[in-house]
Amino acid sequence: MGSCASCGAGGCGTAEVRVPGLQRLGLRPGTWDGIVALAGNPNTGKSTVFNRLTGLRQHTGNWPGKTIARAEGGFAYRGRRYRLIDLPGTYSLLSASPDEEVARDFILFGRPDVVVVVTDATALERNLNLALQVLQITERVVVCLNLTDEARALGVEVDVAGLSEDLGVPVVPCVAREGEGMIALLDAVHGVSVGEIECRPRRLKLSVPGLTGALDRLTSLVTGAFGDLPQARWVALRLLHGDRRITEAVRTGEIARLGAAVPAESGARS
Amino acid sequence: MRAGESDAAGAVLDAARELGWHLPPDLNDRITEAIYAESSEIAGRRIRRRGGSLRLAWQETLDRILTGRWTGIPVMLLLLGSVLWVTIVGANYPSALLADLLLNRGWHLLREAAHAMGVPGWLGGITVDGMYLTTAWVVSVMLPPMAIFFPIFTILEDFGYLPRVAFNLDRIFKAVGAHGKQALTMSMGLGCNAAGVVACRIIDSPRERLIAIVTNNFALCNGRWPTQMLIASVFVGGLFPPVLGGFAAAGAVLLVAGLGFALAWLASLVLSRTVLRGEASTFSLELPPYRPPNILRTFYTSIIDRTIFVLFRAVVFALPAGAVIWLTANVQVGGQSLAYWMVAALDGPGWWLGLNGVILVAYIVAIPANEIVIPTVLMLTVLLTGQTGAGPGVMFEVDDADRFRQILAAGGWTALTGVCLMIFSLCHNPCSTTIYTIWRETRSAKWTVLATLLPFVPGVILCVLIACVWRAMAA
Amino acid sequence: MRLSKGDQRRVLVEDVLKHLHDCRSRGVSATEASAGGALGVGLDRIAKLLPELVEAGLVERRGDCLELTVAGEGYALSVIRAHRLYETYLADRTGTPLGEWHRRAEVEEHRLSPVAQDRLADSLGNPRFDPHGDPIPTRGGEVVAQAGRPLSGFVAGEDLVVTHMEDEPEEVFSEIAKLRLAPGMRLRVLGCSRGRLRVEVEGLVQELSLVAAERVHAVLSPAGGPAASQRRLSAISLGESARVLGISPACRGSERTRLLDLGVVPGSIVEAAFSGPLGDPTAYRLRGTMVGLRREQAEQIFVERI
Repeated sequence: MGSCASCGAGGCGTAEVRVPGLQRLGLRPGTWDGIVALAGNPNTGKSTVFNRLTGLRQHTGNWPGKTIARAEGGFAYRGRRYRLIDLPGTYSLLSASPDEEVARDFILFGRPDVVVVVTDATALERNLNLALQVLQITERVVVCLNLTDEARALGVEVDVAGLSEDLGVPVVPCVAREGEGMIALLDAVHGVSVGEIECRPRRLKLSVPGLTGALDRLTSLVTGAFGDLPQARWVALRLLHGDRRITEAVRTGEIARLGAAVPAESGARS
Repeated sequence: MRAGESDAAGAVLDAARELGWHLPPDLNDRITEAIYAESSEIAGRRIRRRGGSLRLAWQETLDRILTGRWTGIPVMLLLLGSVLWVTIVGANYPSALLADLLLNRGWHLLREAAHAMGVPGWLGGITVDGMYLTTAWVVSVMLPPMAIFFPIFTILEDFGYLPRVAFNLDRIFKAVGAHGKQALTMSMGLGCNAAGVVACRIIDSPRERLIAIVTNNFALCNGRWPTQMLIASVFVGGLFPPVLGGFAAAGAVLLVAGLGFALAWLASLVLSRTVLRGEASTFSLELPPYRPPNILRTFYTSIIDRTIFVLFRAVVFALPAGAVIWLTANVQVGGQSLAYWMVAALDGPGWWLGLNGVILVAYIVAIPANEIVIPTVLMLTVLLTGQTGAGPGVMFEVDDADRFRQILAAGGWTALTGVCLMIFSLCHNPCSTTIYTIWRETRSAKWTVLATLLPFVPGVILCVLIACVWRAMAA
Repeated sequence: MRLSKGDQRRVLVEDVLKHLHDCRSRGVSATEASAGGALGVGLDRIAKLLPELVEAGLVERRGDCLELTVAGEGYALSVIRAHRLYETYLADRTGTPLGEWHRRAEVEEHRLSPVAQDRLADSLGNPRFDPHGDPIPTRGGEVVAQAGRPLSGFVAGEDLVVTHMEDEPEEVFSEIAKLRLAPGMRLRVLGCSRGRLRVEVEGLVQELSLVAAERVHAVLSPAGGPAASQRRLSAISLGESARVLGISPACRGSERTRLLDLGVVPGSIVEAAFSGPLGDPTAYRLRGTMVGLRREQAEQIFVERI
């Protein structure tokens, strides 16, 4: 555990905790082997995790809505270089608000190798609302259970293994402010990124009367037209919603690309 | 089917349309409900809550005090007042240190160096007396208060208190179609309007965010508090017996700051009835749990994020302005300096405002920062009245209130000038850093111009009114 | 914005067609005079325009009366579709105040091409009704039948569902808008006294003038009235808990999504925790978090006491 008092003057930012094997690349990752996106509710410590990993110092505060623009940075871990994208904090991915559109489009079309969903352990129920939605869009997810110290203080205990089993993806308890759990988080990101950890994300039942039939039919039409997309059901749901971006992607055929494997020439992506 | 659409895609879209037509109209609600049902089920299974947590009890007590009917607002005023007091008092010492270093030693050193290198007088004047001195001045008076104010503010933020301020005051802002978070952006504006404008990002609704941005300048910023206090103690305090003078001066400054909030409220009302029409829209304010703030890190990030950020912008504007200030005092046209002609031209309008041409010229050339208005006023006054100062185009300040009064009295200042200057200092265009920030945040020339000119409306009205009544009563 | 001559003429043509459609749906006959009166245009301009409309096969003359041809009807429906889609767009996707929807849609209806209409409809999830409860014609020109009769025609004790609100004239609509009624809301007529109708709308007793009651349409509720335990969240006193039944249909767009996102969904338990020093807003405990809501918003949330 890191403590701020132990570091010398001038170094007291976020860099005081040494994470073995982590190399912070700040603003310029150069080339990279993988893209990691940070999603999460506002005020869950997303920016703190971002700062921890990149060595950058985005402002954080106990106050929803701090990060507005999309922030980017980079880090390297166990020989792989990652580009890290901090998505705007959102409660959901269902609405037409600009923030949610940015987050939704990036998770779907930005094709991140791993999406880290930062959740607030003190308000897990609401945070799971977003996490479950992310699990419908992409398979490679790591849930960062942040603020576990606060949760403990408030008398909330989370069964991490059970949660991970329910969600079908790794769940890592963290205290990002203190740097606790960062190694485990990086290991999980690395594992998912290289395929050592296989995710079987929980699919939502969405037992809404009248919806299931329509969703099944449209899903089979989508897979029929564009191949076996992992998120076909979610695409179908968005089409029923009238999502402009997805409708457009279907119209132009761009949606079919989501089925293809992540391009192998990753190192050259810039 | 339309152009650019394959058969398969067309079929999918048609099917989506057809199927969508038969779905329940509140689909979005139902889906959210279904997702929440699953989250709730998972959370119910995987979370255990122990009752009687000490932290929980502590949070509730804090909320009872910080948002309480009788305690909420007094505690808020006390906190905000202390932050300001600590800032103003605490900044004096480091400011003096910096001033000695940059303005006294640094400036003399540079002057000698320029002289030794044989730099021509005019070039040394522009660069050392103009650009360097102005920039150094801005840094030495701006840096310390900001380096104190922002970290304290950030600690309150980290702790989770700021959303409670918005919660406490929302009703006042709702009445004028604005958002409670505007209380925060204005408090931030007390530190620096540019930072206050940036803080408006926390307001979701574009309409209410614009209202907050446009009215932020009515929050009396750090750059103007010293002017207010100096003028109040010399001119307002002087109207009262010595025992009461200090209190009267402090009261006058608080009155001006309060007037700023009232004007912001009024301007918000006018805006939301005219160009930014609309009702107070959504307000869902999360009140996060209180968290013990990490003080050291907060200091570090707030200095990097806010202080350095604002200071950098100020320096960028101060450099060219320094050259302009020096040139106005040194370029001769028709046997007189440019400053003379500008002051002469603005003396008329200045008289109507209860001010004078020197003050107006100072506000024009000292646009980079409110902090350099008084030094510029002094420089121009001695230049035009033939008193001894630091030389034409060279800003200076005096520590002694009597000497200060003497210089200004020679420039024709009266108590009326002081009072009107206090009003005008509150109600004039934002500094160039803030104007630039407004443009960055809105990306709109229209809103930037409105925000720049709006403060003049109450400013001119109040100053003219006060001047007329004052002169009528004196006569 | 200045319109070109050609555009001005097209706007007039479309307004005349809309007027004829309106007359037909109300079962009254349209004449040159009624068109001129309704549109506030000189009779000479109408008289000059009509032969062209007849020539174009949009309008037929039957004596003094004017009637839409099939083509004319289709054109009118397309303009109406544009109008109602645009109102829905304003309601759901922008923060435009209620009172301005109609006025803005009156302008935009002449600008949206059929293709633009379809795109707008797609992006809104192909809504069937506009925010006033008026059916939006489909791209094929079909119109869902609309049920309901004026509220003033029902008697005390009857349980109703709102189907439609008239958005003209503006003063009357602003009264209706203040009550935040919306199609789909359940209400019970309580009685009428001193020219005002008392109704209980989803657990909240409200009053409206008879003029306004004339312009709110409703049908008998198939599922009966609201339960006796139903309240608005704003009526829950501090320290009390309630179970969420839903969000008012009058709460739309981003305001609605934000509430949903925060966990205001049927079944959630809400506790009124404390209110601010000025009495408003109030902080509610909801799904493990604390959320401050203004009174107006809490009023949009239907709950039942537990």
